[in-house]
Amino acid sequence: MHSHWSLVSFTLLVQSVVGNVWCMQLALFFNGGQMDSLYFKYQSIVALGLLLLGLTAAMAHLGQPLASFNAARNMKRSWLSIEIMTVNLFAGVLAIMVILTFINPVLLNQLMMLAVSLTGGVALFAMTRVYLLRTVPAWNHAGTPLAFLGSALLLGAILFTVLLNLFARTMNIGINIKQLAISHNIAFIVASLGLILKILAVKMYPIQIVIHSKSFLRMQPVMQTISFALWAVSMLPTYSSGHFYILFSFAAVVLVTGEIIHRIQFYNSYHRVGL
Amino acid sequence: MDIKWKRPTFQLDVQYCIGCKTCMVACKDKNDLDPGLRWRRVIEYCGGQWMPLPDGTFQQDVFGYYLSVSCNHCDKPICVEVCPTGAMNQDENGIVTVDQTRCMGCRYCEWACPYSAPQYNAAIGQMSKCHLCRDELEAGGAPACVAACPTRALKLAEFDASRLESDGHKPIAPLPDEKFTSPIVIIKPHKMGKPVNSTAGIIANPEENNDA
Repeated sequence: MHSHWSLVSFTLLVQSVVGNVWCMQLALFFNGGQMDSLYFKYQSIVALGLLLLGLTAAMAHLGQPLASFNAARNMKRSWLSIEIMTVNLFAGVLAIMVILTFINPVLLNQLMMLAVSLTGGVALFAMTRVYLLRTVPAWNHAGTPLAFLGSALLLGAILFTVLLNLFARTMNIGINIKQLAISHNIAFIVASLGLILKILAVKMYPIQIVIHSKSFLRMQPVMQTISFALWAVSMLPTYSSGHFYILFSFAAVVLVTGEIIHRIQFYNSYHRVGL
Repeated sequence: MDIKWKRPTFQLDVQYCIGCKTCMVACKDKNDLDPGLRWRRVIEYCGGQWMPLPDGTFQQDVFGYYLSVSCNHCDKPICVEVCPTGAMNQDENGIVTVDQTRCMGCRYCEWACPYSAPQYNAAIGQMSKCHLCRDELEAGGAPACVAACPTRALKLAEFDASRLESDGHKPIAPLPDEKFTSPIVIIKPHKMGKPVNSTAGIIANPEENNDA
C-alpha cells in the first residue's frame, strides 16, 4: 500500500475535532447554557483551523487535487463521496458558528451547537463507512467503527481539555471554577468512554495491532492505559494546578502518540481478497 | 460508436495458457504503458510436494498453471460503486473505463478491486485500467492481448450467463470468490485447477505482479 501519512493526519484531525465539538456541546448543556461565549469563540476557531488542516492533508493524498471538485458526483453509491461532502459540510457549519461568535455571540446557543455536533457525527459515520469495504476483510468488521468512534472521543476530549486550560486559565473570559470543574469532568468521562471503545476494538480484532508490530508497539495499549490512569490521578483535588499540568501533559502526549501509532497500524493492516 | 458485441468478455482456457506473457507485452505495447503499469498480468500458481513412501519411492501432487488476468468488467463493479467522482463508469456493453477528465487519483478503487485492475499512473496522478481495447472492437478487431495470444488460450467471447456451465466456466484459485463483484469472464479451468479460496498453492511470481 502506498504512503498513508496524509490519511493518518486527515482522519485523526477530523475525528479529534468531532470529539472536541461533542465535548463543547456537553459542556454547554451541563453548565446550563451559561458558558461564556468567548470561550466557545476560541475553541471553535481552533477546531475549524484543525479541520481545515485535516482537509489540506486529505488533498495531499490525491494525485489530481484540482479534480476533487468532482467528488460530489457519486453520492448515491460512494461512501467516499459522502464523506468528502459531509466533512466539508461540517467545516461549513463550524465556520458559520465561528462567524456568529464574532458578529453576534448571543446567537450562539444550544441549537447551533447541536447542528455542529450532528454534522460532525454524520461526517464521522461516513468516514467509518469508507473503510467497510466488502473486499477488505482486515477493515470490514465492527472493530473499525469502534476504533474510529473511540479515537474521536479520546482525542476530542484531550483537545477540549488542552484548549480549556489554555484559554480559561490564561485569558480572562469569565468562566468560574464550577464551570471549569464540570467541563474537566465531562472531558474525562468522554475520554474514558473513548478508551474503553478502543480497548474493545483491539481486543475483539487483534489483527489491527499485530501486523507490522514490534514489541514496543504492542505495548501501546498498555502505555495508553497507564497514561490515562495518570490523567485520572491528576484530577484528584489533592493535586495542585502545577501537578495537574505536568501529569495531564504527559498523559496527553502518550495518548496522542498512541493514537497516531494505532492509526498507522490500521493502514498497515490493509489486506484485500483476491489478487 | 457501436461495437458488434453485446457483452464482450475474455475467455481464458487455462489448459492452453503457457505463461509466455505475450498478452501482457501486447497490452503494454498497444497502450504505451509506463513501467510498473500492468493492465494484464500473468499469474503463476503452483504447489504440492513430493512425499516419501515407506518403500523408498515418492509420491507427488505437484501442480502448476498460469492465469492471464486483467479487468473482468464485472456485473457489480466495486470500482464503479466506490468511485467518488464517477470517473469509473460502465458503458452499455458492460465495459468499465476511467474518465480521466474526472479522476482525482484518490486510489479508492485500487483499494477495493479484488483483481488489481485499476492501476495508479503516477505520471498523470490518475487511475488507469484495461478498457477491452474498445477502439479495436469499434474497428471490428479484437483486444491486443487476444490478438497476440500464440496458443489461442485467450479469446474474446459474447457473455451469456445461461451458457456459463455449458461453456465450461469454473473459477479457480488464486482468483477470488465471484460473489464480491460478479466478474464477467469465462474461465475454462486447468485439470489440476484448485477451487477458489484454496490454500493448496502459492503465487510463484509475485514480483512480476506487484506495483513497481
